[in-house]
Amino acid sequence: MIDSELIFAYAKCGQRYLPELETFITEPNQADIQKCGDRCYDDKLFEAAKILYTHVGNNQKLAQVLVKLKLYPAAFEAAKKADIPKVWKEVCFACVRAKEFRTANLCGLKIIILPDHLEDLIKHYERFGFYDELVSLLE
Amino acid sequence: MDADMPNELIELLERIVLHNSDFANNKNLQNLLILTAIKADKVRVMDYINRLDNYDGQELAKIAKKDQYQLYDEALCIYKKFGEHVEAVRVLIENLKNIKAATEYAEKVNKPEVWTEIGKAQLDLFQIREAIDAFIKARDPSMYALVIGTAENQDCYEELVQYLLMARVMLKE
Repeated sequence: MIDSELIFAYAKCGQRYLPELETFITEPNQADIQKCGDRCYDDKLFEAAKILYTHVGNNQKLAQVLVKLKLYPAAFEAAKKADIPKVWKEVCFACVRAKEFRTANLCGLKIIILPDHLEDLIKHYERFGFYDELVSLLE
Repeated sequence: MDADMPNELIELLERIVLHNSDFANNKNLQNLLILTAIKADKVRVMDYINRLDNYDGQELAKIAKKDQYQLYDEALCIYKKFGEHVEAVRVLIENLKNIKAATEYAEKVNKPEVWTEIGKAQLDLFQIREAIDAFIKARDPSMYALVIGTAENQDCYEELVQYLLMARVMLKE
């Protein structure tokens, strides 16, 4: 409890305390890092969540965090490691919204081979009016 | 006392106890003098407390601070004289409601158990910064659940970090 609270308190203190958070989790401790990551994510403390999810190797959540931080290429890398349709879609859709079509394409290629998810993908591109980009992806 | 002549009793005891008689150092007589004064002649109590040395401080202080007598300054004085720091600081906090004086007292004697009393009092007042400061000086993590909740409510995370660093060291030992 104490160690988990300490991690959250570090996260709440902002940028300055992140190096201390990082050091803390590499040393022996009794914190539930995954849960701390979730708590930080829910509290929109994405920088801290990124550190925590990286530490526990939760690539699914890490990809989501990196999208929130607008680090799209890194989010793609995390999505690649997670390799789950849900994550591919999340990263892809976020990239489309941010007009990061290069990364969106890379993710999209993983989705169009899955018939169940193809329709969602098409709808998402269409919703934002990116028909040209959709066509070039499908080609 | 039964004859309800406390003033005469005080006068008699004064002569025995304060005026260098063979019984001046008699504990029972000193106790009786102070006790009688508490009940019948409050203004004399402080003087006796300061001048006498061989009386039962714990018991007399307990009586002095009772609701019916409310001799808080006198109780405080006794506790200080007998080095009962926790009791002294409690009188300052609970009876005299003077957290500032209590903190100054804690700084002077600088004992962990006294700082704990300050921490609890500040926590009751939702003064989380002061509470954390006191608990850190006390090296006392026992109230951590309440400290964490209060600090989070008040957005005092930097202070909380310092507190938790202390707490994890102390709880490990």
